[in-house]
Amino acid sequence: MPPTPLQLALAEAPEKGRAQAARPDEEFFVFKLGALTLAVPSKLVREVSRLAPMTPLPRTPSFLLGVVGNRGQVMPVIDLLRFLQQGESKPVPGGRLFVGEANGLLVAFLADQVIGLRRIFVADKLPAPSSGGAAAEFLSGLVQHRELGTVSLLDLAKVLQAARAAVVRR
Amino acid sequence: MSEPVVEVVEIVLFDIAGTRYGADMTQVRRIGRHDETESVGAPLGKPTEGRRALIFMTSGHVEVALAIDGVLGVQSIPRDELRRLPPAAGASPFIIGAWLDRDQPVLLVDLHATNPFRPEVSHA
Repeated sequence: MPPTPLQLALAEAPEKGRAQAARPDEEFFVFKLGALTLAVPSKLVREVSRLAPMTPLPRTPSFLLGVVGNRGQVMPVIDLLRFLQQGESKPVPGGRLFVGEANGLLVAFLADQVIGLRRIFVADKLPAPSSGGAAAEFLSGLVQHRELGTVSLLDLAKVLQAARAAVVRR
Repeated sequence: MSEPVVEVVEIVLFDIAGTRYGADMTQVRRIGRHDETESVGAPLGKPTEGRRALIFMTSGHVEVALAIDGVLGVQSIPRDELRRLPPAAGASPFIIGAWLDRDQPVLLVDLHATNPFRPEVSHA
């Protein structure tokens, strides 16, 4: 008996499906601050907490708002809007602190609203605008997100390095 | 011989412009008025309404004053509640640490280090 079309087809069929081309992505922690939607790689974010009572530090740059106690540890708090020269943060209901860690430094940052974790395709990253002023220096890129609009990807390690240098200089 | 381990320290708590600070009780000679002796200025900010001062002695045996709004009391604080400040806080040299009062840090001040005339010069 001649083979049926099905048998012929099966004889040539692959044993497994062709792997789809990998599209690398990265997970980001996304939050709003002032008019900005910012994102940092989630691996650099240790935790998110409610706003804690803050103690101001005398004679420090204005972006360094003070220190808070977090799980038995004293931690500096940075206002990214001031650091990026984009204005200054105002306390808002529902505001949060998130703890970022890079180069062995642990710092808390203000966030007006935490959006959550989002996966962003590496191929979707756009370069930070060269005319973006002081802020652009600390961005690793931008993404046009379907849900969130323009998301600025923050280079947290660079922010912490520059912040550390600024406070040590004084 | 190694230094004895200090388990509890006596801290003078004081207030400047609404912020609490602490200093080692052994550094404070007395509480006085801010204008009765030479002042170290306002390294922690200017008091808003107080006219009081922590009076302490420099190592050159000169009395100097740190102007404050008021003394809040003296508290025995266990060593476990004391913290060094992280380098990223970039604290001034006279801020030597913090007391974690529950979750609220209270900055601890080395009064001697607030003295702008250090190292001790002749005040004669």
